[in-house]
Amino acid sequence: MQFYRILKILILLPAFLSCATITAQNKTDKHLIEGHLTLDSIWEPKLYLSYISDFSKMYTMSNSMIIAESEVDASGYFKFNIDFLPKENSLYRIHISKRGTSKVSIIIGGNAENHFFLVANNKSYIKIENQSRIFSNVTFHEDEKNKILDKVDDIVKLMDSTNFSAPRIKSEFVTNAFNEQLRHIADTCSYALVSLYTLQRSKYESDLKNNLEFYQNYSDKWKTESSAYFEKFRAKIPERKSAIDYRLLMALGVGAAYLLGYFIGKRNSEKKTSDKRSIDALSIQERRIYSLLVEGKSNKEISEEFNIGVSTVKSHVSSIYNKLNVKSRKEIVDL
Amino acid sequence: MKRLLIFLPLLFVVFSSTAFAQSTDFKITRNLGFKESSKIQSVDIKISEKTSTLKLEIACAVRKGTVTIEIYNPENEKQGEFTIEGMESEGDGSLFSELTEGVTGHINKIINDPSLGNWQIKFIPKDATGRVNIQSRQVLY
Repeated sequence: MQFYRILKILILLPAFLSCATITAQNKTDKHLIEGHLTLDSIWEPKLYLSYISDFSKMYTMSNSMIIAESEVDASGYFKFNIDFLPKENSLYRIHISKRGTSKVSIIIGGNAENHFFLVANNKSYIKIENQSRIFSNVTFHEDEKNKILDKVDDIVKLMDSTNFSAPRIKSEFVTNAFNEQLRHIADTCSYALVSLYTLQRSKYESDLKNNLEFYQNYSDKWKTESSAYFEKFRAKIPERKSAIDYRLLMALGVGAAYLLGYFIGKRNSEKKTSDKRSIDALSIQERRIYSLLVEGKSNKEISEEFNIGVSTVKSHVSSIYNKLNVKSRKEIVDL
Repeated sequence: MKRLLIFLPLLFVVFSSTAFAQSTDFKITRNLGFKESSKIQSVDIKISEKTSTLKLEIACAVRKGTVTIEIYNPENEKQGEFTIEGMESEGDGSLFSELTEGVTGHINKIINDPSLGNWQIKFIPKDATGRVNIQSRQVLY
């Protein structure tokens, strides 16, 4: 049953998202977060809106983060006026507290999870409903950004519940599949902050090493986004060596190779010229003896070849050594 | 009727013994009180044999300062966290009285088939006054 649910989400979500991104957002003059909630008696009928300045503060609870409060009336209706919010999209959290406890409380996990997240700005109109249990099944109306956010949260909850019911190895596979799906949503989502929220929910930091190029491309894609959320994200992505650097390095390499080749060629050429010049310095007899030395012949063989004494050969050889600036026969052969 | 009277207690014994044989629970509860503390502490939960489920329930309340609670698996990967920031003004009640003021955080974590080794709950206060209650429950196969 669980498997079919997962399969359904994996198949339907991309279709949903593609529709969501092309649907024009409803224009309205109402700048509100409003809706109806079904609450049971353990909850204080009051909601709190907190500003989340940074993804690392999603699970931080502080009185200083609460920016608005709304009573929930007998019918379950609540309303936050949000004209005072910044014009840029930011992340917010709505939470509720149990009766008789501090209003500043966060409950993470379990059926009594007391909060959910949303993206809003000072012109947003967001309509919210829940089905039964507090915030486990919140539905957004009238706002495409938060509909996607809600689907992302559904995936994360499904991932958690699968992890609870499956053996470790299976849950690793499922987690990887879901995180891949979240990365795909982040990659194709056209709302910058929702996209980054999705990436955050995929726990991208543990995937950085495996998919560095994806995150670098992602960072390039949203390079015009200057919000603190994106600034902090970029700070975590190792910078890529730019293409210009690569081209420059390649050009320098080719240049260095060319220069090296040029100098080696020149040196060989100079050496050959120098050797030729040295051989030119030999007398006719010395050149004849030199040619036999190059063939590897001994002094005795040379004396027999030219019908001269061995001592005369030795004298010529010594002269050849001096003129060619060598110290052995081997060096003559190597010339 | 007589047969039924013999059969029913027998049935009860068989079913109750089966139920007891299915799983063994192992619970640990820790309470920490702290006053203007910045000392990082950790509580280790050792899983030394194959365990069906590890349930962690951590509740923290602060009147003053900041406390972060982090849960790590034996591979030192963070499995959950929250931070609560107190409201500076201190109440008159004792550290362990029910806090209706101040800030509270509560995390429930259920881990199926947890890795063997030390699960760690790290408690990071910054000039904080309050209390924390950690409950862990291991359900063995």
